[in-house]
Amino acid sequence: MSAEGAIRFARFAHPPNALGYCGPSDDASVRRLAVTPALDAPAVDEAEVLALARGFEGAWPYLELLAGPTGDPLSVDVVDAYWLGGGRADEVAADAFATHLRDRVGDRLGVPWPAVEAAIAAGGRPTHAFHVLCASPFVGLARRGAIAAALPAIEGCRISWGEVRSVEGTGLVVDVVPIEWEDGVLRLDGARPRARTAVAAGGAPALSAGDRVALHWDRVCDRLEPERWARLEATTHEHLEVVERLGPVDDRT
Amino acid sequence: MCVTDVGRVTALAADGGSAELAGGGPSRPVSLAVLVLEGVPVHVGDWVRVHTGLAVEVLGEGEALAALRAVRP
Repeated sequence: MSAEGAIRFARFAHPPNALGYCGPSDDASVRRLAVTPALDAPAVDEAEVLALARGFEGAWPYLELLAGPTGDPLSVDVVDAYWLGGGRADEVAADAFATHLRDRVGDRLGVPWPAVEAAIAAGGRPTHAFHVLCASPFVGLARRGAIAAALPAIEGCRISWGEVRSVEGTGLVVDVVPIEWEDGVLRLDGARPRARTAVAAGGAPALSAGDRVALHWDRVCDRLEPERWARLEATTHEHLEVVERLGPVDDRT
Repeated sequence: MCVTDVGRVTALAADGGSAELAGGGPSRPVSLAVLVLEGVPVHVGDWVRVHTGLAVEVLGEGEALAALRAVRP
């Protein structure tokens, strides 16, 4: 198991876990892993980390699929493919993705299986963006009119990206490209980044104005180099296009 | 990364915007924002389907128990 990948996984996974939305109830252990400096990776307890990661019942099936039968679900490549998209996520065949997801977690997704399957056939990839936009109930809720509740959930749950405008202690202001609901369609308004207050989660690298970062539930997970930024941006756009292409489906659970 | 959860309402906040859930796990808070927006009444004793801290649907007891078995076999 890659301890570096496990730490990276925890940095992205800890924010919703701390909020009680998903993952194991042992939030303190997830946080401890998330704040482990990369240099201390050799000290990470493999059995404990695997048990924690498996506790993320939504994410773990994707990691297993991306790793393949003999791979490491917590390798850096796999973890990045899940959270950011691209890389290994582009190499998984649609039928393998559908079969794996249906068998592992199909009855616990936020929309009925036929709608999830249609999203995979329309180009969905085994990524967090897919899980939020195509396998969670938020888009359907927005279409049913509950936009005021659904949009913040989408914004918090997706991995967003932005440029740090200012830093004060652990608090930051980050210019984030927001998702908006316009005329019944989700859009990223790239022309108008909005200042958002965020928290530098423990373990995230020291940041300064101008740094580009990934956020999950308004916590900074990681600094994004240009290549990882581009992967996240492209994957989010691709899955918004899948959602738009499919249009309204029977997404009531 | 979150998956569906199911629980039973044990208490409602005074403003009706949130509830406490039991069943299928430890007691936990949940937002009723979606159900409020959709005009769906929620009462103590109701079963709800939850996703990412949001109650998204009120379930009948049979449906809830079946869903609970899927959530926690």
